[in-house]
Amino acid sequence: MNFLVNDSSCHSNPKSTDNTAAHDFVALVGSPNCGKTTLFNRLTGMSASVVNYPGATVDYMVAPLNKAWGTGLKIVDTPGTYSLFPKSPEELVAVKVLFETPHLGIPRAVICVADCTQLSRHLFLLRQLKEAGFPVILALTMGDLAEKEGFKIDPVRLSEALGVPVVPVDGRSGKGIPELLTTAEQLGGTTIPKPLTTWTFEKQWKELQTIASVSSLVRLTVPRTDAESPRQLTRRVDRVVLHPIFGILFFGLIMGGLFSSVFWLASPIMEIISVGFDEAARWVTGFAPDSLWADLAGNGLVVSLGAVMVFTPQIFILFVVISLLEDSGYLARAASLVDKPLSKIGLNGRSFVPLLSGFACAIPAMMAARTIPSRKERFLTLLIIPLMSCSARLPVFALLLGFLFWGKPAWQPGLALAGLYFLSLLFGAIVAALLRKRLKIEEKSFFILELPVYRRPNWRAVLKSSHQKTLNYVLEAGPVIFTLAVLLWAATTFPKYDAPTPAEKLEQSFAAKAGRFIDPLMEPLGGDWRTGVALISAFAAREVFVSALAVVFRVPEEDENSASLLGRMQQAQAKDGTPLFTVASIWGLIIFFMIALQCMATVAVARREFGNWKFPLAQLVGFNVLAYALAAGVVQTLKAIGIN
Amino acid sequence: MSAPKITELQPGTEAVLVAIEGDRQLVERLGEIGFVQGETIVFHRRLVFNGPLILEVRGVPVALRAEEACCLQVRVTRT
Repeated sequence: MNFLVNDSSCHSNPKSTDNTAAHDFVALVGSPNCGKTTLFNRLTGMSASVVNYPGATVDYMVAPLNKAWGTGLKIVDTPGTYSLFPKSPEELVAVKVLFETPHLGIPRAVICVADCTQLSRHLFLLRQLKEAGFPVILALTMGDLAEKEGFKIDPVRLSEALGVPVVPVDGRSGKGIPELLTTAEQLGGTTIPKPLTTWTFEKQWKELQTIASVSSLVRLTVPRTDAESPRQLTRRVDRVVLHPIFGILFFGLIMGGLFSSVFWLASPIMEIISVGFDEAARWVTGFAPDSLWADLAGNGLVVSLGAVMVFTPQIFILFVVISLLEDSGYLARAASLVDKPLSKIGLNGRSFVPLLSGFACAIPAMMAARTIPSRKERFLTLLIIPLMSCSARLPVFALLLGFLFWGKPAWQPGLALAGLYFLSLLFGAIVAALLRKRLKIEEKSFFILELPVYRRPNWRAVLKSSHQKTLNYVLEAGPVIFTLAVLLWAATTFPKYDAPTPAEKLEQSFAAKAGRFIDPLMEPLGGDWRTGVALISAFAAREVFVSALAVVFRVPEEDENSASLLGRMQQAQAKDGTPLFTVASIWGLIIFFMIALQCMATVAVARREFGNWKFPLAQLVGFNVLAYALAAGVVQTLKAIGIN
Repeated sequence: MSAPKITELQPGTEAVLVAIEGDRQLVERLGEIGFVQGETIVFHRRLVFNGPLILEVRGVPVALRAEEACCLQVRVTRT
């Protein structure tokens, strides 16, 4: 069985006393972007995200060796680190795995992965590992890339020079893996490695001189196959991509393409999933129309499952596109390009990828923020990630914009939606700029990012890793959304579960009581208890707002789609007989959804990533109060100037 | 007179690092990437809006902010 272990759980693993497991694992370590994760995937058959962006692995992963290679060994993959002196949370994970894994024991061997073309830098970590007392093997990757550059590495001489076994491997084809494993089998850590304490600048300098001379000693020139080496090609592409004018244009083009492709590709699939689950719910309740159990199974369980699954196409597609960009090497350039503007609001170029992922889902986005070394910048990034317009907001915006642009050509709501995305980004920037002064963390910020050579993305790996990330979303957010959705079902069903009509059942329900309780609060938003119920329901998952509105406005079961819901909404009347939904109140709801933090799964992940409750709670209360205040302000202003 | 900082030079310059001075953690990290005394570096370009510098060290382009690059004192070998 494959499983993902995250940092926070590694100290509380119940298997920690299993001593027989000691010596049965091999750890993979290496500098960022050295080909470590590709090798891990080849060894285990797992599909961790393999990308051409420094800092792709932010958690450590454990998986058994693929049966094709043998049995008995477990492989641990660690986040890339330049040295045993961590400078960011992900690097800390790597060092912790090596020194503090009581439940794993002492590694049988540590495989230090180094890129042939980067030997004079990547051997640095190997020297530290050896000095700390680990049984080390050097795995040389990217031999093909080196040959394209016109050289190759002599493993025998390298092994003699370093005093450790050296095995050239090819993570993509699997070449060299049997030799690597045989070598690992023969090693066996007996002494307990000790963290390095006596590492000085002078020593660092000497080490770098040593590895530079070793690297040039083992380098053999070979005839180049291509006219242009990958490095030359990279330089040529960078002249355009990093150009002051063309670079910015290219960046805009890529981002525009990214978001439009997500909408065009995902919306039809989301429609199918949503209709499919509605059908399934009807089919399940149809078995016993009046029984509470069939209602729970259909309208509770199946609908809740649908609420979780409906976002998966968008998340998957967004991750595919992001992975393609990462894998090609472009994202490192994009992060460098936006470092300056982001630093103006207290963020870092490395905040770019987490914020971008936030448009899919805040959960993986928050995990991606671990690559930001400075705590202050990481916290600011984590704080504004929930403001990025995630895919759960899309169905809500689609409904509300559908109301505003009723009967207008389709490009108008489309443009308005793009505007909302931009507005959410702008709002996030304002919040970050305001909070940076308030956040009392004095920590030096730095931005140092390697720009990898451009590579053709590996489609198979991209699809597999996107699948894995989407699965992570389902596993992380799923249970929370699911539980809350079932609770919502209960709140809208009880106590009058045997009422003759659904409408009566709802009006007597706990949810309606709660809705009426907050009725005065809904007044400034231009809503009443019914909007209140739907808003409370949205705390299960934002898109539940749409189905909750459908329930409270008693859309007949036969045509419970948003078109007829829109019709109902237009007919809905407030207490005084005026229309309930007006331009003003719809804008109020849009603003509310743009800012409010309604996703409890995000709060749970934020708790883990911040490492305390203070920030996630401040985020939860702050964004919701702000959302309410701004929404009320917008509604009242619009009313005052006569837009209704 | 101390050696010029890489940030004071024009893009396209090739230079040898003569000293790295600054915050301890930063100097350590720069060293781990390959920015050590005696190393030849190429200043490729500066990104738009006074953004990060692109410096090549040991064959790899690295993006770093001017604040970080300020640590790097150099002797120009080719302009």
